Amino acid sequence: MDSQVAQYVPVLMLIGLAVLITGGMMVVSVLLGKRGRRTTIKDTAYECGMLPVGAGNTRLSVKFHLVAMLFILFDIEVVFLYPWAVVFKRMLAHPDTANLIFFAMLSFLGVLFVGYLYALKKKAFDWTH
Amino acid sequence: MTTLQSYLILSALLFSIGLAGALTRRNAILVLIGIELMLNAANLNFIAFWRYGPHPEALTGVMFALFSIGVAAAEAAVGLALIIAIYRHYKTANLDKVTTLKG
Amino acid sequence: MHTGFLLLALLTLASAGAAMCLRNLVHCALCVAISFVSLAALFLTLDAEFVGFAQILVYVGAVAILIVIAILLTRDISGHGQSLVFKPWTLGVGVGALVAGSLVSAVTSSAFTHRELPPAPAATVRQLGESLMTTYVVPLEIIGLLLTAALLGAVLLARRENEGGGRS
Repeated sequence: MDSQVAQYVPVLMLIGLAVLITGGMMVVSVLLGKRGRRTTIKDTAYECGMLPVGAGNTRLSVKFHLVAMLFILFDIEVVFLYPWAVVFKRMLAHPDTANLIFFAMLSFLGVLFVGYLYALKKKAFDWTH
Repeated sequence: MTTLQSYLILSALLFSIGLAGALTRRNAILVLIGIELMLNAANLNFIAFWRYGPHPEALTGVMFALFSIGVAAAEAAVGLALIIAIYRHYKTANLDKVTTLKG
Repeated sequence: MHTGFLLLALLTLASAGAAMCLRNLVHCALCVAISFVSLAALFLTLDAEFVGFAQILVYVGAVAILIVIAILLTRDISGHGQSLVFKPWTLGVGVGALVAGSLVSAVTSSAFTHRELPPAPAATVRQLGESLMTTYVVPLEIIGLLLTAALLGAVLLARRENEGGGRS
């Protein structure tokens, strides 16, 4: 059990390093940075540009949601592709399982590709309008 | 040493938190988050029973948890799409306001 | 080992509770992401590495992002002064507490649950792939069909933006 946990010590070290670097950058920029004068003009969004118009929180386009949703579905596909890819070469070499491993994943991908074609046809990735 | 019991108690508490949230919150997205928490508690149960069960080499619990993650993610995608469709019609994600079946 | 489990369990429960209680919806989504991450770490302590990997990839990488985008899309402009919960909120919490009590009492009274950890099984990705390609090949195809159906439905539901509710 201890050896299992010990495998993740590098991950913990990486997390610690990431926290240390980002935190250190913030601390250093506060310590060393020159503190400028802050006025109302300095605090505007575009100091030398036009004044912003309208409310800050405009609604997002639903396209972002559509892309995220398609990403989920293909993400799951990747989860199932990974163990398949690990055993692919070994099972392909074996004549009993070669057909199975080839056509099983081919039909899985084919079914998902039909859905992808539908999304393309319905212009889910068309950002022009 | 951690026993199976502690994992089961943890997943029971997680399930109840998700259930209480799904029953009380008015925002439809938070109801969906509660359902996701309940599904995750079920996944934790699958993995815990697989690990402590008599035949861990059969990998049944792991496969079930993988398929369950897949189904739950598909459910989240469709559920959030439904919530967005409702929002577009009623201009709110508040479940109190969605009172009619037909627009 | 035990302190690690306790820390992870506390993190999971606290972030799940915060996700169900906070007022700001974006904070709720971030808390539920923390809960998903600590559940992935719990899967790692149970020697189910690949499930932890899938949990991070699917839940933290995709579902949490989708929830944040859905929250940003459905911001309620009008309903600021309203309460966040259904009015008899004690009812829902009571049902939750009832379920928690009955489940915990059932778990603690069972003799099966006191078993100690058996020796670690070798659940490598290779074995997972082999059983996925032999025993579980039909469920794999069905998952493919389900994902396609979900994709079609989600595209159809989310696409009706500019047509005034009608199909294109």
